[in-house]
Amino acid sequence: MRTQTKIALIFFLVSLSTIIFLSASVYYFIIRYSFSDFYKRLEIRGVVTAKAILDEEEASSAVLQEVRELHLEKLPEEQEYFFEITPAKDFAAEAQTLDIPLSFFENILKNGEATHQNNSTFYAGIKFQSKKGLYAVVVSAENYYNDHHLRYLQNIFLFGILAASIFSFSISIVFSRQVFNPVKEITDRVNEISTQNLHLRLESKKINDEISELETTFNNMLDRLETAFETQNNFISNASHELSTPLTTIIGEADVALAKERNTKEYIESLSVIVNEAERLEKITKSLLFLAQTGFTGSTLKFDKVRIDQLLWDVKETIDKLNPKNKVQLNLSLMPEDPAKLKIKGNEQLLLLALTNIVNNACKYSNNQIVTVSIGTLEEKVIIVVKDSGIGIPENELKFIYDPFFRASNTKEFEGYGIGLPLTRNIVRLHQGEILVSSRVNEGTIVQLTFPVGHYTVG
Amino acid sequence: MSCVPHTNYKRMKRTILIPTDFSIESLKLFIEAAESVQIGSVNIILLHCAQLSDSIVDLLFFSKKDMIESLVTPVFNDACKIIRSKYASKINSARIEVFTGHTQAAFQNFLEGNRVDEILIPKNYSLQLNKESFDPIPFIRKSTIPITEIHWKQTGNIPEKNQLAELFLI
Repeated sequence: MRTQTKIALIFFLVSLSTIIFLSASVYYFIIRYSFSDFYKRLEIRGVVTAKAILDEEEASSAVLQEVRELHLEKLPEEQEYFFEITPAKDFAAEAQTLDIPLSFFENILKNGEATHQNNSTFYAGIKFQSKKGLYAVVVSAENYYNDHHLRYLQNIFLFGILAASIFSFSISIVFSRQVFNPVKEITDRVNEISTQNLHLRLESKKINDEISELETTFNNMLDRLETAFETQNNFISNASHELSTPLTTIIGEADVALAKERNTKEYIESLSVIVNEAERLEKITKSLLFLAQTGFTGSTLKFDKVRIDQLLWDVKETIDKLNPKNKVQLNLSLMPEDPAKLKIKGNEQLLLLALTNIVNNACKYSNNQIVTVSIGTLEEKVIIVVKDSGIGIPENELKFIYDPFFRASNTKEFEGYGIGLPLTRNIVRLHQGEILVSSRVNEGTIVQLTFPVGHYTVG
Repeated sequence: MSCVPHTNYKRMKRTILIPTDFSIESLKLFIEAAESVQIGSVNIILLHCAQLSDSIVDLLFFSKKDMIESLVTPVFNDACKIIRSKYASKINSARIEVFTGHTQAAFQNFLEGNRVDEILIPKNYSLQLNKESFDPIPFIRKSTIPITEIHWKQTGNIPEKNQLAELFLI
């Protein structure tokens, strides 16, 4: 069932049941009230009539008779009966003739009053002390209300409920349409968006309600999707460009060498260019392969305890081999006293690769100025901060630095492929770590790496 | 009221008070305080001075804990933890206290109440105050507790200002 129909139905049922409940309770209480009111009227008639007939004082009897004629309307089928109460009397015969149960008379004797209903005829009885003696006065009449007014009320309620249900049904349909209209609009609009026109967005209204929140969420998702799509496209174009450049050089160089016969020196020159470019090609494909491997979940990777300070010394050693002119300084001033806090769970080879990447970048883009590498630990985290005073990264390009083959606009004079940082981030992610890069152009870059402490005991 | 300054430097657990403005740079005092310990350990109190609001409603709902929580940034918190793990055996405890008094006597009382043995203040760094806080240095200078002034090279407007990385430079 569609949610729209469901909501309409619920709305309709709720309003209908409220109306029915209200009508039923009104009807019930009216009936109760009309019954008790009618019995009261019968009793009053009983008292007045008994006084008028049984009390023999002429004057008061006449007055009462007059009052009765003038002010008390004769009820339909009104009858009065008087029965003298003597100690030995049982009312079996009277009950028989009036066709009312004996308990009615017993109630009169016991409580001084009693009521009884026989179809539409109502009986009220009282005990009356006249001058002649004790009497049981029984008055009976037909309840006009019961027969006519209540039936009328019933009809009103029936037609009322019918009309109200039709009304609430139509209202509920309109209401549910109204509610789901914006959702339907969103569905229609999102249906229009495909890979061909990912730039389309939902029109966001200024009002801050749930629907506009949904629209904003959709738009944000589309933003991310578009970026991902573009990254994918860029990756392929960048990768093919990076791969084709050395290939073009190799082919060109070989072609030139083969064009005519050359001397040995020229051949050596050509071949060394070819070897250089081929090596570059190999480097790119190797790092691409690494990137792809680390991009997986890493279920085949072996994780063991790694001491971060030892790792950093290894990194420095590696950098010294790669780039003897580097000025890497290890800052151990905030190393924790407790060596257990320095051990993290990780794959040493991968971590070494990631950190070497970062520190090497720091050296490269600062033209071998001082690079400081610092360690600190919190209770649950190890923090490594790598700081350089190099060319920095433009602020609006910071968000692209993890895209493969992306290179910042100010890196033209430096060699590189743009694979290092995405690779590093993949490795850090594999270790449940975080990487935070902040930078100012021409002032330097700070890379902050955070790894969870491995909780190894000392030893 | 007589005040006897606690000059017993060799006591096993001294209490050092340092003013703070919740910036990373001001934590230099924290490091110096931990560094100054030769024997035993130290209790460090980071002092923040704030003016209380005049509004009754504000005072009714005032809580020091909430105030400290609103001032301490996650980076500051992390930086404190790094220092504490570096000097784990030297720092017995470290806590942030808020002083809300107006008079020198109240400040003196505050120092005695917290059993402060020594106060470290910056020599050339001025605390960055927000609109509710005030500078405790004048009160500190007039108090009877021994004061040590710490000099350091100010970091200025460096890229890592108020990032965790700044801590490793100071």
